Amino acid sequence: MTDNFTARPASTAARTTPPGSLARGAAPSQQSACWHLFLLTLKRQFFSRQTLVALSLSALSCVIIMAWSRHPDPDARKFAEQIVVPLYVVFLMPILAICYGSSVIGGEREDGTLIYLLMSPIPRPWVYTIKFLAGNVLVAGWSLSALLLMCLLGGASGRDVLPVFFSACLLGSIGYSGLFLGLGVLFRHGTIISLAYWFFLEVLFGNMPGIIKRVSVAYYVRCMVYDAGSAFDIGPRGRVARETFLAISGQAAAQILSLGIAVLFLVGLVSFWRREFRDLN
Amino acid sequence: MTTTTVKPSPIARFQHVTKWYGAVIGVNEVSVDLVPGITGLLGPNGAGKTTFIKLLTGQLKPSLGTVLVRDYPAHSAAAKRFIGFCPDTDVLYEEMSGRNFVLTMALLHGLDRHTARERTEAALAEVDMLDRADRTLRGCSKGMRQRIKLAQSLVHHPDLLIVDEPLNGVDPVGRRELMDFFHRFCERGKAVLVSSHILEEMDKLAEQVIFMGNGRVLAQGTLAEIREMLAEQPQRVRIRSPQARELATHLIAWAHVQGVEFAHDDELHLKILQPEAFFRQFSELIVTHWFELTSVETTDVSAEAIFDYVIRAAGLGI
Amino acid sequence: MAIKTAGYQKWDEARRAPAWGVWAIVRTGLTIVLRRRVFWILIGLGLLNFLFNFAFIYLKATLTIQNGMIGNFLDNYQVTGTGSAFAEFMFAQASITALLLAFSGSVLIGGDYRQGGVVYYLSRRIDRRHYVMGKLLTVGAIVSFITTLPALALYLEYGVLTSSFDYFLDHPRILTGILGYGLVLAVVQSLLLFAIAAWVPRTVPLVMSWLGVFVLFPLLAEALRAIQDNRTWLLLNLWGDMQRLGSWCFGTLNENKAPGALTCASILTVLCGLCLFLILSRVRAVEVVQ
Repeated sequence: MTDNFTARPASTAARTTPPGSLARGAAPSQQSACWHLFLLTLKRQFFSRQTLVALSLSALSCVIIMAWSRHPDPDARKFAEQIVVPLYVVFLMPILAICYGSSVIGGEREDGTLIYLLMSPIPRPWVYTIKFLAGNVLVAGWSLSALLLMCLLGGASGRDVLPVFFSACLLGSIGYSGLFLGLGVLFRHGTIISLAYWFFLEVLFGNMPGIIKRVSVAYYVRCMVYDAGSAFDIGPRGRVARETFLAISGQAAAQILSLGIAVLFLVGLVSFWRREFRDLN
Repeated sequence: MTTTTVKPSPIARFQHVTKWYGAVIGVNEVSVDLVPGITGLLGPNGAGKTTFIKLLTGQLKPSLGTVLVRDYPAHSAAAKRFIGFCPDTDVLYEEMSGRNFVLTMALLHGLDRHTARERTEAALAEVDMLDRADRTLRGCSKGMRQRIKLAQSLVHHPDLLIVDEPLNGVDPVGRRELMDFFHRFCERGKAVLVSSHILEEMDKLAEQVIFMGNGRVLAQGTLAEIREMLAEQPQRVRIRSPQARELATHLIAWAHVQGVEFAHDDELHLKILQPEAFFRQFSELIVTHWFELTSVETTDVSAEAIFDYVIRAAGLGI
Repeated sequence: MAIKTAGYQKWDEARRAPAWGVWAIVRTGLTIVLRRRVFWILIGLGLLNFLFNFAFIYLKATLTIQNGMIGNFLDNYQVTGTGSAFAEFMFAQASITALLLAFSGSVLIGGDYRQGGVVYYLSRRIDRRHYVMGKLLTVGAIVSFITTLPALALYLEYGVLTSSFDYFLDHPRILTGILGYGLVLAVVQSLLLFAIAAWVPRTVPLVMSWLGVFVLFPLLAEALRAIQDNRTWLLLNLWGDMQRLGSWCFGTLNENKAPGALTCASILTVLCGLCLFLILSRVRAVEVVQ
């Protein structure tokens, strides 16, 4: 692999690197550096205390489902509305996203170890992109694994609703992850801001009447779920519930969520690129 | 015969650099060249040393002017290949072993695994941590952590090593080893910038010093050059002689002697200006009158005293 | 330089008892938390509910004077100065407190363990009892600031916006209810938070564990109850236990529905004992050279 750090020097004067300078002669590779940053991020996040807590929360959720599956006459609609939406969509998915999303950059910033990444010869936009990808892999991986396990434990009802939730939850978890990653870049206490966002905008505003709930990721996930789950009669029933929820089509929700993810990625990337992290040392 | 000294080309350059934090100025119109060799960065708290280092390591971008490392802007990714940075803060990937941490840093610099391993072992050997590097960083002493931080900054073979307070937490033997290491590093035609408050060690360590105060570079050069530059600042000289009183009668009449004090019957403390002229005239006096001298020493040529002078000369007061 | 000028003082061997150190810890803790902008943002959001209630009581008082029918209509809402209304209000505030404490726990207690701050405290003339008490009181003060104080303000507002002092004389149980429920919230939440933060000091896992307790346990309790409609399972819902005990303080608890106040109190006492054990074993783990 040849040297592919391609930034141009500020002047065209003869370069003054002494002969034999090992920094020049060893042909470092940017792809290799990026790949190792990706692996490092995955490894550090996965083998961390938050994984243990995430595991405990997922296990507790599974116990809840096992208890629920012993209820008299469980069905797919009840499973979706009593378990997956309140337990998974509203709580577990955003919490798992906060767990990894906000600590992928926010944690390094809080610990001060971000300095080592900023001193590596990987351009900052790449550092953010790699962190974004690693964060998404972890969040989406955890979230979808938890969903799969929950649906399998839910018995026939769970297996029925799994396809309904799968794509919506994939997009939702990536959306949350991108959002919380961005908040970790923008704010010093990114985790707390993420938490406040989740509580006030997702939980409180998400249940208010009117269009205010359209600021929440969970709203679009629910729209996609209700659209895909119409066969199981999943979704708001009755005039009041429908008019309070004001659903949009699943396709529109998916498009908005995808666009949101792209915008969040760009905002986070530009912010990380331009930002001077004065709190590191 | 004429001898010409070829000034080594700079590895890093500050060109009219100013950095503001809102209304507060961090560094003000700084122009400095960092050449191969050890350069000490000195100054009181709030002098702008940290901002200087952050600009050099590309953590901050200058508000005005440019900071170049090997002709690349310091904040660019390309410049990072030439910089090794050992931060002051005691942060590491605590769950890793020292060896793994250094290896990780090597890999993040894009080295292939084989080269990275080789370089890791070499860097650990440089800081004398080869046999202790498998311990988890969480359980390492401060001195060991300091060495590991230094090893990670060397692993990609940078041209410029920036070390912030490197001797903190290191025992006296370790300090001498690190100082020897810095000298060895510079023998390869590379540069070290050492920021420190331990001026005594800077005396032994740095070939050049940069004095900062209020965001400005107050003085730059070797300690001797700076001393000469500040010749108009009074300097203290201690003379021991059995004929101290006779000697004093001559010295008191000289223009460069500002004050004479008797510490003991055989010991004089002088306050002089223009040391070069004073010592020329003083040697003539000794030879002419055959004065017997036990010792002559300037008591404030150390960096500490120069630092004191520079700060006073800049009107900062101490 | 004279020793006095340098700031040294003669050692008079008369220092106050170490127990006074508790107040210093509380003061320091509150300063640490209150100087953060994020905390004030959270307090601001947390007080939205209070402002809504405050405005509603004022509106009701004004409209009642203009038209008594409207006053009676507004009595249908839970902002009417009754015991259950205050219990509801404090319950809503307490859920916001859970969020606020996630942050405070990380700063106040988690920080001590992450950065070794415990050693600084324990190297003074105080022992771990004082340290633990100081931290618990700090957390308790934050809880009271969001729950008890706003409730007292609303109680006062409701009473003084009527034409006499009859409201205060007729409803003394509301006052004891506010203080009692406030005490339950402060004691249980501070002990639980300290125990979690001492063992999981990093911000993200702490927040996750803390929220897990308050979100998943109620869901689990409800899921288990629904299997055979056994209401004893509801005891797993710590939030609900505190609410039922609070309602008992207000005198509005439906005693016919299990679990009763005594059972809830027993569960919470056991929980507090367990938390205290976890706290003490964690603080004991710090070695201070005497």
